[in-house]
Amino acid sequence: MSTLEAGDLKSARTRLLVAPKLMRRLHRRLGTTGMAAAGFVLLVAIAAVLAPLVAPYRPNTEDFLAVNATPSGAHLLGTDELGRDMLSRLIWGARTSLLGPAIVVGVATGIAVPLAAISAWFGGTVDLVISRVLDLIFAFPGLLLAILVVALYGPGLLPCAIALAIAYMPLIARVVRSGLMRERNKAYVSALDVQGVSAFAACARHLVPNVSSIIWAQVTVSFGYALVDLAALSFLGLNIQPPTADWGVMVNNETALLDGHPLQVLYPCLVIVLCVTSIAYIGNRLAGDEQGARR
Amino acid sequence: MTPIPEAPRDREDLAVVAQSLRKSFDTQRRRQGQPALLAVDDVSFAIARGGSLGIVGESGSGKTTIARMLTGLVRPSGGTIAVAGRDRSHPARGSAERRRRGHELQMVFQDPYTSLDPRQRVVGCLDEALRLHTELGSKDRVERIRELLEHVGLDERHARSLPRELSGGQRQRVAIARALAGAPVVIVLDEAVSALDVSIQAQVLNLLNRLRAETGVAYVFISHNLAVVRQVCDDVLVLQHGRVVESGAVDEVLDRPQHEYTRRLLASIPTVGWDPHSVSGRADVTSRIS
Repeated sequence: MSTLEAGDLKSARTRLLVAPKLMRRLHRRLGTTGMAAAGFVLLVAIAAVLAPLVAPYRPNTEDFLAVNATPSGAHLLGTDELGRDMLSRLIWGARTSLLGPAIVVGVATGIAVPLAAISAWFGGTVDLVISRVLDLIFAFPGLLLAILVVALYGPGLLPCAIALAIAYMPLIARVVRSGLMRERNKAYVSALDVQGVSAFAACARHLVPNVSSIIWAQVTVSFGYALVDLAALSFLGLNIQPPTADWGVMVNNETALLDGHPLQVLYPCLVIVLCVTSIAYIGNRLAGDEQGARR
Repeated sequence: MTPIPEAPRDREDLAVVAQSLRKSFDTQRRRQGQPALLAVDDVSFAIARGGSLGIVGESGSGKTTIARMLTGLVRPSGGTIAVAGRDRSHPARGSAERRRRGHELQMVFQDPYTSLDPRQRVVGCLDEALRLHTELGSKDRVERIRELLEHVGLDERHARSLPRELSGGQRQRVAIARALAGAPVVIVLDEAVSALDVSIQAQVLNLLNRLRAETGVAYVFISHNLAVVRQVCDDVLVLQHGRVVESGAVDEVLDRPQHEYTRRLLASIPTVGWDPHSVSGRADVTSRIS
């Protein structure tokens, strides 16, 4: 009989968890609640991507024999007034409901970070001008801007997302700028300057990576806000149009409420609340870590 | 002490020539109706290639401002600076010019804890400097990094480390290796050993002396510590309120100080039986109280 060695334990544990080191690091960053939140968001994201495989029905398959059905084996969450499977609509709806915020955050961050870098690197008049322009955009309410854009270009996901991206951009830029300003005053940046490293290389390779946790916190928090705002725009009929499955569209179902089927509205509400709370929690943990590190 | 030549732009044999350097930080004070604050007032010096000039003085005497003007981090209000026979009184035009200036003059900062990018490993830090200032291929750069680390007394184990995994002395060695990477004409060391404890200080000073002998690089060594300056420098410049009060060969100035201020600086080096009241000028007050 062979003796047990420490290495065996380690390999056994490695086999249990795919990447124990990564998991441990994530756990340190997010805590147990944060891990659960991240797990939930990941689950929803995977379901969204694999919607054709995991959803039991197509989102718009109507079954007139089971209209407004209560939850059963055939329809786990029941059906709506046209006999469409609620669970399938929720899963398919996750696609547009998550794609929208992703566009908003991607575009907003893509504009905000370079602007913040230019502002922080050159300072002085450049910083002043950029900051005032950001204040100007910031003063304009995001939803109002979205309504304006929809009035010009017609309803749809892209006009809404772009409008919200413009509205979100100043907030992200401001926070990132203040982080970069702090970084700019450190001696290593002067060292890069003395070396003759170009402004672009210094920002792209050194300054921005050093504030990545601030950026990630902003991205996460903004994603949550964008999800709610886009759902609100869907609810107002400016974003995704019925019959396309979308959480905001599903919430806007007054016939279900009047006919006494509140569950049909409650499900999408619940999914939105859970998603946004999870994302907001992760964002706060990331932002809190940043503050903790500064102390 | 190296004499200051008439036409500094022709003198490529001199590492640094500074003539009548002035810097005033006046915007805020002038707005309040006060006279401008002269941080540096009419300072001139020259350093031969491979030479070493110490600049000493108390806090606020303008030492660091001179260092920052030499590196181009601060723009002089007046006077000229030439490094390796090329003028750098004005901000660099274009990236090639910036890179060339970085190639000629490097700097080691006071605080080794903030002067390295916290996310960059030692090997990346040195590689970045080499890629900027040399045309070496990747194989040659690895060889050169190994050589640089050996030069500053670090071994290859440290190459993969992040700055936070290194001690203050080791970090300062990395900063020195980075400064040496492009084989510059001058290195400006701004209080480069002040943040290190005494035994590490001695090691780094020995290292600096050896590197100067081996590579022929010139130093501008800025410090408030006269004992340290004596170890590393040939010449010394004593600054008070932005003006040069005394200059000359280091032994000359430190052994036979002519100016009252230099004597006070020398008297403020703590030794056995040292009495702080002898320097502070308030000895009479304290004695009267007691």
